Amino acid sequence: MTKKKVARIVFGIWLFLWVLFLIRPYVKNDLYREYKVLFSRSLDGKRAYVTGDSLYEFILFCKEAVPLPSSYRIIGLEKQPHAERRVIYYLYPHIESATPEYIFVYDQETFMYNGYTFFKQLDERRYILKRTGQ
Amino acid sequence: MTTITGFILWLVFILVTGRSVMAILMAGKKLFYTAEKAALSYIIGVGMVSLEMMVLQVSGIPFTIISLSLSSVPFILLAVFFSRRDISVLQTTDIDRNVSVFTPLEKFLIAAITLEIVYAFFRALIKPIESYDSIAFYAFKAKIFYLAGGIPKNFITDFKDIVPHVDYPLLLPLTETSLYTFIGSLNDQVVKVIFPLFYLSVITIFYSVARRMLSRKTSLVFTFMLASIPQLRDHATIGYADLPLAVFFSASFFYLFLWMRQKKSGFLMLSFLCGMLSAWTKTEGLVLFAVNAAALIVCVLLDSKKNRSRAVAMYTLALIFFVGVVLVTKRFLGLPFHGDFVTTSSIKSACFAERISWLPRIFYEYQRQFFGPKKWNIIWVIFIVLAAFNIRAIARKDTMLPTIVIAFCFFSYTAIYLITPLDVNFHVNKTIGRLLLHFVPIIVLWIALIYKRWYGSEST
Repeated sequence: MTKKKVARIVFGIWLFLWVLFLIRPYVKNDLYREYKVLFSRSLDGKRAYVTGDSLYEFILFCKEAVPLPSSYRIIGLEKQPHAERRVIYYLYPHIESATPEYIFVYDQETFMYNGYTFFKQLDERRYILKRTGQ
Repeated sequence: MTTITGFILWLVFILVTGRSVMAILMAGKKLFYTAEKAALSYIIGVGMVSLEMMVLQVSGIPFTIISLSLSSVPFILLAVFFSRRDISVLQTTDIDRNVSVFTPLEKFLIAAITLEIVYAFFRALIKPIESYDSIAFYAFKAKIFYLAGGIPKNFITDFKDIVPHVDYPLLLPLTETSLYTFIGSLNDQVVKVIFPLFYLSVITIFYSVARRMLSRKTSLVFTFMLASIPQLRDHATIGYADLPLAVFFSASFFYLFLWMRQKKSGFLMLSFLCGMLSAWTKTEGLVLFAVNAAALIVCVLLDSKKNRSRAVAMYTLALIFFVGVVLVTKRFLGLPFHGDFVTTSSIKSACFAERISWLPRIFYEYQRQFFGPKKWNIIWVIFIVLAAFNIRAIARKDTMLPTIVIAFCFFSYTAIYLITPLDVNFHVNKTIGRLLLHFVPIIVLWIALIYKRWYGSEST
């Protein structure tokens, strides 16, 4: 086999894999549908899409509900470190703290914490607790 | 000001700053193609603007459009002085001066590269910043800096519990802050344009460098291969610092390589500047910068016929000086020199010897990357096969420098895994794909050079 032929075969394999891995996410992950949804959304809508509509709605609610800047802790995302980082990013300049003024409770039906009282709620599973006293 | 106007102004500001620095470095010599000059202006502009922001910070001046613009004025004035000389661009090489019509293959390659670039912009801009590292620290730091109008006082100490890795180099967060400042809002969708612009830059720089050594068709083939590597394309859209680092390091190597071939001092200065900006992008950048310098020394020692020792000594001394500046700055800020991943005890030789048992695990991950086409197509397979069948060719004069740099990169990154006291399974699995990205443009150039030697002619 000539060197030229080898080069052509290698380039052919490259092209085949190139096309395959370009198309694959559209078939496997329905990327077309994702782009269609994203295309129709505003910037906040896009943020909600990548964060999860329910969580992002709660983030916006918390951001508005407490005075700026406040310290907080979020409950309900312990098993989702990626989502927790997103909350920290979007809620800044509110700052996450081990001794917070507010506790943001996400997706928990009944959560009470010593020294905190109910403050505001978005719905039954998404609400804010506020520290009582010092 | 609308977002679009703000973005256009920012881009012009970056390009003018970068172009001015290049004009100073080149001192009127014609060294670059027009597109190459634009790509270099972008990457150097990004680097210099982030350094200017540090100067503003130290001077206590808040980040505003006016303060940022004024900080570039000294470069622009100096560039005007140097521009009085001839700064015409480099013309295409004599080899192809009579080739003007594109062949069907060339047309296909240009269309495919264009498709990749347009697709990278689309994928980057369809979503706001969302990937983990970006949300956790790069974009998060940019948000903090933008809202504070600068880097908050005592950032290192006061924010260490809020932001992971406060000590990471700030090129990317400051670049994002500069764009936010120009568009006047925290638009974390538009800010992602920074990354496909880096992708476009590395493709342009690669083609321009390859074009000095290869025919138009061969250069286009290898540029297409680089542009279509899935890992490179993906990193053009996710907001990590690994693509900017790959671009700075590759540019640093490419112009070092051109300096070895053509001995034009402008290339050496550009290589040094890009090496320095690598270190300002990610901590690994300093290692890669040192890799370039070490490879250069080895090459010059092996090729004693050409007297380049003075230039090499200058390059090395400048690197040592730069490391000294980094060391002093880190000490001043109370940070460990080696970052928060490596501890002093983990650098001890006893620890290192003990960790040799980790090597099979590390090599297993390398192997997984090399033979997994999902991220790399078959670039590593081609590299391994060519290296195995061209042992003599890889050590020849024209390929020696890239061969040594690639070998040093593998050695350095493997050593980093051995001295980092993290769970090796977690560490290697999470980072190896990104580390390989840092020097993949050099791999593609190396393959192109071996291909040229293997075939002996440019006819294919």
